[in-house]
Amino acid sequence: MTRRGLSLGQRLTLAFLGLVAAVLLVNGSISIWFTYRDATEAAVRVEQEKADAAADRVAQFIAELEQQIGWTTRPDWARVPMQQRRYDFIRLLRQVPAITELRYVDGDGRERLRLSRLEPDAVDSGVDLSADPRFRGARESRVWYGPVTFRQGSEPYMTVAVAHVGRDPGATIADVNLKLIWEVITAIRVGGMGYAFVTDTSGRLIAHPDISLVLRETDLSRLPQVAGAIAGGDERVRSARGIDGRAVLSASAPIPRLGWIVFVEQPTAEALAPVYAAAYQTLALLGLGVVLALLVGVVLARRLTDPIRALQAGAERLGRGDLAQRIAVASADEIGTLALRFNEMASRIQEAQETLEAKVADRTRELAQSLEELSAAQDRLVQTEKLASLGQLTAGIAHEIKNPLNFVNNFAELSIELLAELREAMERAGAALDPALRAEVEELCGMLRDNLAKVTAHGRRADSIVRNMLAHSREGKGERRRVELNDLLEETLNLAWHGARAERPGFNVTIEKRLDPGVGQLDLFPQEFTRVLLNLFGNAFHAMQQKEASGFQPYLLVTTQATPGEVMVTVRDNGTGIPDAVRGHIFEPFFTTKPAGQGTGLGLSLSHDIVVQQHGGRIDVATEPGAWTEFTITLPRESLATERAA
Amino acid sequence: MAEFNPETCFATRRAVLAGLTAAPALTQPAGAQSLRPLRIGYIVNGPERTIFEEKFELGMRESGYVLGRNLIIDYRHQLRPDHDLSTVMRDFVAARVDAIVASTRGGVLAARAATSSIPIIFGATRDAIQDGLVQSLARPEANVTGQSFHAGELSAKRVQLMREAFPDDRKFAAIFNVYYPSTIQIEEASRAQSALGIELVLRGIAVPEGLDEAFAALKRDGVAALFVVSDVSTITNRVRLGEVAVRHRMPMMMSNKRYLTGGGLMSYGPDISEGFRRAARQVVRAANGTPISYLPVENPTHFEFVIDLRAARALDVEIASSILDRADELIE
Repeated sequence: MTRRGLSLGQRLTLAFLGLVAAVLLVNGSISIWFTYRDATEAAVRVEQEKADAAADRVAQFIAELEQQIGWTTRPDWARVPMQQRRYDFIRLLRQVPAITELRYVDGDGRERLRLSRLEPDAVDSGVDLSADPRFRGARESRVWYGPVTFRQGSEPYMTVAVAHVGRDPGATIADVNLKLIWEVITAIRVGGMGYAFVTDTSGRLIAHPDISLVLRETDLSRLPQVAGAIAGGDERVRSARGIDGRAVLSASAPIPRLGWIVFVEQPTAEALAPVYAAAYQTLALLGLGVVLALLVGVVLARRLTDPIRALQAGAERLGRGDLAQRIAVASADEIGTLALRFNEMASRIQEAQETLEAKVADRTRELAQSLEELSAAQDRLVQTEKLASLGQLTAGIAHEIKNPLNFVNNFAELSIELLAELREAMERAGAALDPALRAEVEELCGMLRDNLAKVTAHGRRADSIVRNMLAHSREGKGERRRVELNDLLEETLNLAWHGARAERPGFNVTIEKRLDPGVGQLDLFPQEFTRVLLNLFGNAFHAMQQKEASGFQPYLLVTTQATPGEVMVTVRDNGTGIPDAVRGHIFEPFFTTKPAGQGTGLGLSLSHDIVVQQHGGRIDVATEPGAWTEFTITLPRESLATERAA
Repeated sequence: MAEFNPETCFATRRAVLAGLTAAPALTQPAGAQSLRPLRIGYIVNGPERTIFEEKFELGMRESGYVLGRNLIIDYRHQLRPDHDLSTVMRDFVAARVDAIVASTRGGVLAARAATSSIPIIFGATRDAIQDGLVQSLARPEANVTGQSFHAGELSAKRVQLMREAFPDDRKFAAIFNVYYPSTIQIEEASRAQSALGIELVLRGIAVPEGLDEAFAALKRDGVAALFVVSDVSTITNRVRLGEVAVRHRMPMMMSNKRYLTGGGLMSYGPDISEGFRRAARQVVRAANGTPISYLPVENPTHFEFVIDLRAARALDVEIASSILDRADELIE
């Protein structure tokens, strides 16, 4: 029987697998989580350091710038000749490539000197810059940093104005091309792919390794990390998207003096590479663990389920009826014990089954025998019944035939007498008759006499047959009377012979009768005794008919012999004889060797009863199988009669 | 303002990513480029290969593209400013080049007429906006971008430097190719003369055949020194120019160091060849899919004042020490 769902082995394996996988998974997840956290923290820490350093360097870049400019702000600078100032400016331009333009504005706010890398120099242009924020800013805070502007919408510039030292100071104003911070920013590397960039407080990109982005005046204020840094809250955005959309870990540091923010970013993929490595390791371990767990689980489950399966298979075979089945389970555990009990149970069932089978076989055999006997008895009863009705029929027919036969016989005898009267009449006529005519009539009369004699003889014979039939079929035992035994024998033999002939017209047999006249009359139940004789004759004819081989001459010898106290009747045929196996049973009722329907099996049995019980005689058989059979009936002459009379 | 929005457009992101990868700061050796070599159609300014082409190839090499391995450069020469390049440009378009490099206004305009999709990079232009090549330096709107170098502004500066080198003289000249005058430079130079208090003779010359005669005439007119307006004819004939200058003892102020072959006395200007190196990076990024609008026109930041002392000796001129001090480089 198959059940749906998973087998025990599969479930055990799965359970084992699940357990191991769960442990590995939990362990791996925790370790990955910690690795992730540590790696993130470490990466951000490094980035933060880099960002701080970068901020320092950018600040230093500007501070150096300021310091270089400061060289022109010394107190005596207002008194040096213009040529010297110009020379100083030229030197400053050469030393600081980032400065594109330099102005000197005197204490009144007038432009006194302007040097540019692109334009012709201007000396004492006198342009009034007293209200210019650059001049005012420098005057107010000594050093003034202008906002970042993009020249022609492209190049980032910042103005640095430094007030001179002394009373009523002028100022040096420098236009700084911030593209030059590129070198500072590009020098900052984090890992392989990390980079730094600088924005102002509105999020506009000031410096980036990709100068193109800067030249496009890129606004980054929408990036969360930039927005967060501008907002300046404590909550810094650590993981974000970089400018190119890649996931990055970000750190930032402000440059308060300039209002700039330096960002250092590293692609998350790179920063977390150790985490990924750990994750892959964990995955590999998980996979290995699962495979191992699978193997171990399968082995364990198999070790557990194999005996169970053997048990199941044994039970199945037992269920199918294979009782000789024994389960081979070697283990000494519960399953082993179970198997042992199972085997014991199987052997007990087998034992019980075998006993039961033997009993059933016995009973069946007995029943079959009974059935056989019963059906044989039924057949015989049917046959007996048939014979009985046949007897009645025969009696009826015989009776009906007897009357016409009497007429035939009587009128035949009468006709013979009439013929005698005709002869007398002719003799009386004497010579009145023509001798020739007389001779002819006498010849005809003789022929008629002969014919009538034959009619009479055969009529008698027919009469005898009918009488015998009647006698045989008459109901009841009839009465006991003295009977001429030899006559009875002859009549009965005649009847049997005709019966046999009627059955087989071609049958021929030599019958020899050696009848002792000394037998005389005997006190008998003639009807019963006739039945005995008919039976013996019938059997004899049958045996000889069975035998009929080439050159076989059937021969029946019937003898009577009188001894002082007894009379013996023997009937001997040269038929098939009686086999030894059959011989002991021949007088048993219903025993017959004839095919069903041909013999009742009662013949010899009844004969035995009639001879032994009714007549106090004996019936014996002597035989030589294949050669001859001789039945001998011995009847007491008187004793029985007296016994019976008494 | 916030036109750059990383959230909106994937192509943009990718473009910028491609840009970052090729950026000089992140010098990823881009050796593992696609199997198909990069094809570039290149217009050489003049009949001969120059330092510009070498610098361009160097820049390409720095971006991972090496000639003969994964780079094919189809060099064509522009011999005169009015050289008709339309056939050459059609060839480039038919050959499906990945980018066109043209460093003259005529070349760029011819390329722009031939294609609106193939990136066009100029390695140097006098002034990208004034020359009408782009409307915006920050976001070039069409398929053209490159390197610009303030030629106009610098003309005035050059005249000033020339004048300061010869503080005692008041008559100077600016010469240009009479057939293709570079108006920006001529106008700027001319603008400077009043502020400097000098007379600047503007003289168109048939280069090179009219040089000798013109120089003789200028010398006769008492011109102390002259500024040579830079263009393809002057750079091509720079050696001849130097020879003529020495022959007529005429000090010359040139646009850049390359002119200083021994005859030109001074030069002031950016190192244009460095622009070609930067242009190579722009070419690589544009050819790899970065939109041109993400490749702003770049300007030089470094300007050199060079004095050729060999020429000074040959010309037998005395240069004021204040000017010598200002020189970033002296050629001995």
